[in-house]
Amino acid sequence: MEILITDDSKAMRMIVMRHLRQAGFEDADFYEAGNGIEGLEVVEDHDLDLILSDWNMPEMDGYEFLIQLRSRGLEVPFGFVTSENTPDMLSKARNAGAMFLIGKPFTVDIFRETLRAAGVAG
Amino acid sequence: MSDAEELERWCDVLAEAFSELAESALFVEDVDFTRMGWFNSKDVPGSYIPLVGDSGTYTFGIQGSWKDFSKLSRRFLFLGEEEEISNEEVVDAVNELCNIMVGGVKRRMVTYDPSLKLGLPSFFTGSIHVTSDQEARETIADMETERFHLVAVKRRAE
Repeated sequence: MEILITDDSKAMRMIVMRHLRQAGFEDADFYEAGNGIEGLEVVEDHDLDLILSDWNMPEMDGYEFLIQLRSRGLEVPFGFVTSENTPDMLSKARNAGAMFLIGKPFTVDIFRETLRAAGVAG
Repeated sequence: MSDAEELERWCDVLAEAFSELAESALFVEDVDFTRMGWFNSKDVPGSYIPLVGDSGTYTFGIQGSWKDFSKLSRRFLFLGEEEEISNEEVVDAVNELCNIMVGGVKRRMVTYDPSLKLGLPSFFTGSIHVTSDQEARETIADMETERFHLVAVKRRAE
């Protein structure tokens, strides 16, 4: 399984990776990007199974990243991991094609349950 | 409600958001809070994020010593005492913790002001000079072995 984690914080990318491993994705190959532009470059070079992205990032935020992906016909399963976890943001994310939104701060159980509910298997 | 009273309300929410962060991301259950006026610490490291909406323009932040920020970052990154951590990694971790904390403020206050927009964090060592059109408050957050100042600044309504 190939997973892209997009977040402008290296610390958060590391923590998301750690939580995914503990949630049953220990055998996955992880790729990292610091914003949506870098994320699109990774998407072009890899056959990804899942993208987890922050919302607020410099240069290209996670929402625009998702819009760009879908406009190019790329239907990779996409979820947000963000501190922007209000009902309005969740609605906006879903309307743009996101499968889920995990709010920060989070736990391993939240990752496990959210990914299971979204039909993403580790 | 006056600007000062309104800012007190936001400070309560900021403390709640910090407690949530401490428990779920730092595994610290007990944080003691002490409300202050404006202490205005000099030359102190800190991370700050703007939160802007129709109700006002706010800046929230966390200040602390490098030593305490280093401890905080180690907790957040699951690093042991013996593992190296660079200043850049500390800044990145503290900025992210500030982002989560202020995201928690937004989540709690978005029903009061649906227009709230969260900015990106900035980290610097210095002082905050509060102008005549701003109101500011600090709350001391005492964790097990670290102490931080939670900062809230509001531009007064015209």
